[in-house]
Amino acid sequence: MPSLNETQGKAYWRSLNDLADTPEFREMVKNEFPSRLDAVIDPVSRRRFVQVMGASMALAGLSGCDLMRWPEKKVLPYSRLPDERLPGIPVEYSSTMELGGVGVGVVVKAYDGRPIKIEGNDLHPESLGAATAYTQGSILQLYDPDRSKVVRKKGASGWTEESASDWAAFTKELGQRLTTVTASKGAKLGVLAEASSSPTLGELRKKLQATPGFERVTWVEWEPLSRETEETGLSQILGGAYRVHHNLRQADVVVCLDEDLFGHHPASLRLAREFADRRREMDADRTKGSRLYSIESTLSVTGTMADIRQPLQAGQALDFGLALAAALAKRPELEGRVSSDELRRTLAKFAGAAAGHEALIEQMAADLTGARGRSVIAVGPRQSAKLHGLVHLLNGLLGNVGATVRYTKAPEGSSGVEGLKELHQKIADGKVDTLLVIGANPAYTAPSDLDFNSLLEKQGLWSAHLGLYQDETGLKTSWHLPRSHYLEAWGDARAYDGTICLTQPLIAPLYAGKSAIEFVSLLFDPTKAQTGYDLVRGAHKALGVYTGDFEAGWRAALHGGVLDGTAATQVNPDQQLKPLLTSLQEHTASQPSGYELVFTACSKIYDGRFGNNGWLQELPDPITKLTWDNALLMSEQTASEIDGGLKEGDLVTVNGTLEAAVYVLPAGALPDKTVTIALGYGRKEAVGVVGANAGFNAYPLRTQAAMGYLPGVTIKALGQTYVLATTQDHQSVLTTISKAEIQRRTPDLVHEGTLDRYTTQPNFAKNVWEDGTRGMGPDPATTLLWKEPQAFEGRRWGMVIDLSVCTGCSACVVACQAENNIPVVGKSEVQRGREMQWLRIDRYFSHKPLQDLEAEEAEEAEAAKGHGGDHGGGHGESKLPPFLRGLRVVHQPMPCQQCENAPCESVCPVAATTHSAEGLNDMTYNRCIGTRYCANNCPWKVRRFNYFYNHHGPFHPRSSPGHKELPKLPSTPFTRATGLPLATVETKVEELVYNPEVTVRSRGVMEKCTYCVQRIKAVSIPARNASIKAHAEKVARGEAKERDEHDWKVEDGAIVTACQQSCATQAITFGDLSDPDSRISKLRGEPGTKAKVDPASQRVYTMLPELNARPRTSYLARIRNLPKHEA
Amino acid sequence: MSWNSPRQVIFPKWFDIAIKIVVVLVLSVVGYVHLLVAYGFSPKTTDVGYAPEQPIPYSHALHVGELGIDCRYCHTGVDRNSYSNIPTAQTCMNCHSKVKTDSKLLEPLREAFKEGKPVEWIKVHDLPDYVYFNHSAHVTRGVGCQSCHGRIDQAEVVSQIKPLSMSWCLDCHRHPEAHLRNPAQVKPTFMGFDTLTPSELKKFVNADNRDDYGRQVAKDLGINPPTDCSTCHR
Repeated sequence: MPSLNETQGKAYWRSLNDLADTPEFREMVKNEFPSRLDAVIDPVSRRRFVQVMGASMALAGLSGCDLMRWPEKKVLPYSRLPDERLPGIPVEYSSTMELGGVGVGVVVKAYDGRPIKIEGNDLHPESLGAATAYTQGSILQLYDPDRSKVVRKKGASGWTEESASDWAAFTKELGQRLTTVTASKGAKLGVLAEASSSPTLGELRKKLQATPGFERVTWVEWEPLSRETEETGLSQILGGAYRVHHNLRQADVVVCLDEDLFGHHPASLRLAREFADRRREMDADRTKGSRLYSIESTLSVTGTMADIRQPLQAGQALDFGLALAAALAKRPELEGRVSSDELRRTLAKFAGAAAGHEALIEQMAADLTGARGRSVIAVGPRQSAKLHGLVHLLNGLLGNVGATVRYTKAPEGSSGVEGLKELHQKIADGKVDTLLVIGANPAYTAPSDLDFNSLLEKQGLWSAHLGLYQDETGLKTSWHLPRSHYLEAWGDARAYDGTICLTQPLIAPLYAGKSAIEFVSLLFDPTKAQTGYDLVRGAHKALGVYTGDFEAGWRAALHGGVLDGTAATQVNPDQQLKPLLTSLQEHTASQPSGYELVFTACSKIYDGRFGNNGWLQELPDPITKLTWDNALLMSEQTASEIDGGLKEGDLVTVNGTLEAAVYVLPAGALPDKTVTIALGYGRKEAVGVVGANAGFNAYPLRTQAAMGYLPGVTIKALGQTYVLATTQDHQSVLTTISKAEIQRRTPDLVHEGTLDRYTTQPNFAKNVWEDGTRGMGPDPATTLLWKEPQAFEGRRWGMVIDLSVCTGCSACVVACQAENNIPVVGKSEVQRGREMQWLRIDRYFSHKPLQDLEAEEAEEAEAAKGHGGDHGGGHGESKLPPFLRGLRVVHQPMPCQQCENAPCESVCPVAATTHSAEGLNDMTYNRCIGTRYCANNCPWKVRRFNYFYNHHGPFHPRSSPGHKELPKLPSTPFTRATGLPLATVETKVEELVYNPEVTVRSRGVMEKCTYCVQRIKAVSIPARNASIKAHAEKVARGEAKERDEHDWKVEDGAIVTACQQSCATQAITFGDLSDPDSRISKLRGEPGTKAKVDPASQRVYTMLPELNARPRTSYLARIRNLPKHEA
Repeated sequence: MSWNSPRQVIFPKWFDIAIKIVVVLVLSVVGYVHLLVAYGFSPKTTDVGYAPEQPIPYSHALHVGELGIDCRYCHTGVDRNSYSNIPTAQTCMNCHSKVKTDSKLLEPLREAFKEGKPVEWIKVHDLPDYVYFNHSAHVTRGVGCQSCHGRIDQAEVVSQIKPLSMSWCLDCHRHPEAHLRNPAQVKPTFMGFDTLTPSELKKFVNADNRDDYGRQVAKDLGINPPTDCSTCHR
C-alpha cells in the first residue's frame, strides 16, 4: 500500500483501495456490470436455481390449465364503508414506536387497511417530522414471514411440530403456576421486560405490585444499550434520577466526549434538527457559526459532522475530560465560578492528564469559555459514571445548566445490568421459579458473565417468553408466545422529553399475538383477557392528565399521537460535589492498556433486534458502507501492527472468544490500538431466515465490567479470510477517466470550505466558469454543439441537498426503499455491485487539511495572476497543529440528478427513458429491454438494473442455498395449506408492504429515482382537477374564456419526497423551480428571486457542470468552522 | 486474373439454393412478425368483449338506462379518485332493503350485507399493474363514461368495449376533441352525447359538430393531454 505522503495529492477518496489506486481496483471500478456466470456454474446455487425455477414452472402450469389468457381477478367492495374511507385513497394515522424505552412519534400510511409506510410525526416533540432508519424499517418486521405466529410449548423432545399450542392452554397453565406464586406473596415470580416507558404498563405494574399475592414480585428491565452510566453519574452528583436534555439550537460550541448525538442518542432526531437549524443561521450571519468538537473512540456520524474531531481511546476519555476540566478551571473568566479550593486543587492535579492533546484542549477551553451559557458538553453512555458527573460539573461551571443543558426527572427504574444481576441471582438461588420474559432477549444480549442461556434451562424453572420472534430466549423458555407488532396493537409510551404518546393499531393482528400490556393483564386473572384498547383507556383515565372531557381529549391525542403538555418539567437539582470529588481524588491517570475493544450500537440493526430485516441488513453502514455483516473496525496503523499487517476481510480472534473479520478504516479514523465492533450480529437461525449467520457476535466479550469497552484485548490473525460486502467503491461517479482527471475533478463533486473562506469569498463553492467568474451550473459562455435543451413551460421540479447538515445517517435510503418497492438482493449480489437502493450516500474521506487546501488554492490563484514566480510552500508538510490535520469525512446523497440534458436518454434504443414536460427524467419499466446503455452513460451512476426477479428470485436472501437446511421455525399456515416451497409462499406476506402507487419491477429492467413521481401526481392531479373544475363553471356562466394549461397551484412544500420526509436535518429540499416564491427557487437563487433569495444560495453548485447535463439536483457546499491558525 | 478472364463466376453454384432458402426465411420472418402483431391487437389479446358472469346479474340498462340513476350514486369515487369504486353492499341495500326484497338473484347481496362480507364481483376492465389510470382526471375534463365504457346505460351485462391498449390511450391523448365536454355544461355521465347527430348536438351546445365543440372545450379549459411516460407509468 503506498504511504500517505505519496497519495496525499488525492484530496478526496472513497476507500483505502481507491486511495491506493491499484490496477485491480481500477479494473473493478470500471467493470460496472460484473458477470454472474460463476453463480450459475456453482453447483450449489445452480441446484437452488433449478429448484426455484421448477416451483415457478409448476405454478405457471396450473394457471395454464383453464385455457384463459388472462387470470380472472375479483373486485371486493366493502360491505359497509368505514367513515371517510374511499377505496384507493391512502389514510394516515399517527402512532408511536418504542425503542429502548423511548417513544418516537410516527405517521403510518395505510392503503385500504394495509400499512405500507412509516414516516415522522411533525407534532411529536422528539420526531419533529423525521424518522430514523429503525422506525422506517420496522414496517418490514410487521410483514416478516419469520415472525412468531403461534403459541408454542416446549415438549419433552424440544421444539417440534407438535409444540404448537394456543393461548387457552397457556393461560390455564399460567393460572396453575400463579397459585404457587401468590402463596409466596409473589416472591417466586420474576418478570424480565425490555425497557418501556408506557404509562399503561407502568400503571399495570404498580397495580400488580399492590395486589395481594404479588407484593414481592421481582420486575426488572433489561436493555443491552442503556444509558445506565449516565443515570448513575447524574444520580451521584444530583442525588436522584435525572435525564439530561441538550439544546443545540442555542449552542455556539458543542463538545461530544465519545457521544454520538446524531446517531445513537435516543433524542437524535431532535438534536440533529437543532444542530442543523443552527448551522443554517450562519448563511445570513457569519458570526452565528457553531463549532462541534467530537472526541471519540469510534467513527460515528456525529464525528463526521464535527468541525474538529479527535480520535481518542475510550479508556482515556476520562483523563481527557479531566484535563479539559483543569484547563477550564484555570481560565480567568471561570476562576470565580469554581466553588471550592478543594475542587480547584483536585482538577489542577490533572492538568497534564491528556498528554499530546494540549493544543486541542487549549483551543476547546478557549472556545468554551467564550461561549459561557451557550455551549454544551455531552458524554456518551460508553463512558463511566465518573465522567458523566464531571461533565455535569463542567456544564455547571460554564453556566450551561438551565440554559443549553437542562434536566428533567428521569422515569423510574433502570434498564442496566444492576437489575438483571439481581434477577439472575434470584433464579440461580431458586428464589424465583416462574419467569416471564417480555420482549427482552437476555439469552443473546445479557453480559456474558450473567449466563442466561444455561440459567433458562435450570431444572424447576418455568418460563414464558413473549416476543416478536422465537429468538434465542424464546427457544430456551418453556413457552413461547407471539407478541403483536406495534402496528397491530394499542399502547402508549413516553417520548425522551416525557411527553405521553399513543400507539394505535393500523391492522388487526396478523397472527395470534398479544401486546405487552395485554399479556401483563393476564396475571390479574388468566381466564379474563383484556383488550389493549380498554387497558390503555383505563390507564389514561386514571392518569388524570386529560383536562376537560376525556373522550374529546382522547380523540385529540389519538389524532396527533401525542398528549400535549405532558412533557416532564425542567428541574434545577442541587449538586453534591463530595462523592464526585472523592472518586476523582482516587483516580490516577490511566495507563495505556494495549488494544482496546469498543462496542457500538449498530446503525442498522440496533442491538440485533432488527437482524431479520432485509432493508436494514442491506443498508450500507454510514461509515463503512458494509452490508449484511459487522466487522472488527480498525484504522490503518493498528491493522499494520497486528501479526505482520491485517487486510480487509482477514479473520482474527479477539481474546480467543470473538472471531471476526477485519475492516480497515483510513488512518486517523479510529484511535491507535482501538478496535470497534457493532453489536447485534452473529446470530444463528433463531433470528430468522434473512439475518441468520450475518456477521460476528460480540456479546460474549461484553461483561458487566466492560459494557462499553474492553481494555487490554489480544488480537490474533487466524490466517483465513472472510468476504465482506461493502458498497463503498460501487457506482463511483468517476470511472472511466484518467487518474489525473479523477484527481482534478473529485474536489468538484464535494465542495467544502472553512467558515473563514465563506466569509471572505461567499461564492467560493459555486461552479467556476472559464473567465474566472462563478455561478451555478454550466458556463453560459460555452458554445454548444447541440441545440439547447427544450425550454420547460409550467412546473419545473428540482431538488437541493445541503451537505453542511447531511449527517449520512441513511434514514433517507430506507425511506426511498420503502416508498419505491425497492428489492433486497442479498449479500452475494451486493458483493457484485448489484445493490438496488436508488439513493446512495457517497462518503468521501480526505487527509488533506482543509486550511492547507485553501491556502494552496489561494497561492495558485496568486500565481495565475502573475504575482509570484515559484511558489514553494503548500505542498510540503502541513504546519497546522495535529488536531486540525485529522481525517475529514463528507457525505453526499446521490439520487437521480434528473438532468435536463440527460445523457441516459440519448442512448436508449427503445426510448424507455424520456423527458417529461415538467423536466422529470422518466423511466418506463414496461418499455425497457435491459440494454443497460443508460446506466453506462449516466455520469452519476444512479441507475440500477434488476438482474433477477429480485423480490423472490434465486438470489433473494430467502432463497440462498444455506437457508434450506435451517429448521423451519414456527410452522406456517401457508406452507401447510399449500405445500408450496418456502420461497414461493413467503413472498405473499411480504407483498403486503408494497406501495400500490409504484410499479414492482421485474427482471431485466432498469430503474432509478423518480423524484417520487407518484407523490407529485398525488398532489398535482387533484390540484389540476380543482383548477379545471372551477374554470369550467366560469366558462359555463360565460364569465371566463380560455384557460392557460399551467394555471394551477400547488402550495410550496405540499409535495414532499420520501427522502426529504425522513431527513432529520432537513438537508433535502424539493419544489418547483418555476415558482419564484418556492423555497427551492430561493435556495438556488433562480432568476426572479433576486429580492428574496435565501442566503444559503451562496453555497449552491451542481456536479460536473462541464458535461452540460444540467441536473435539476444541486448541492449546497459543506462549511466547517475551523479556528484560525497562524502558520 | 484480368477482368475478362473466363473464370469470372462470382457466385458459386450452391448460391442458387442458398438464395431460395434466404428468401423463404425472410418471408417467414416477415409473416411471423405480422401474425404476432395481429395477435397482439386481436380482441382475444386485448380482451375486448370480455363479459364474465357476475355473482349478481346486475343490469346497468335497468338501473341507469331505465331508472336513470346517476353513475356517481354508486361509483362515488369516480370524480375524486384514481379508482372508480364498486358500490358497497350497503349502497345497494339503500334501495334493495325495500325493493325486490325476496328476489332470489339478490341472495348474495343480502348475504354480504348480513355477514359483512364482500360480494365477489369479477373484474372486467383490468389494466396492467404498471399503468396508473386516474378516473378523476378524466371525468373532471369532461371525458364521458361513454368514451371508455361505451353505452353502459344500454348494457345488460358489463363487457369490455374498448381495447384499453396504449395506442388506444394515446390516440385520445393526442386528439382528445372527440371526447371532451365542459362538465359544467354537459355532464360526463350523459350517455350518447358523443354520438349525437349535428342537429341533435345543437340542442345542447353551440357547435356544429362534436369535434368543433371538443376543440373549443380544450381551448376554454386549457386541456392539453400529456403524453409523457410518467403520466401513466411510474
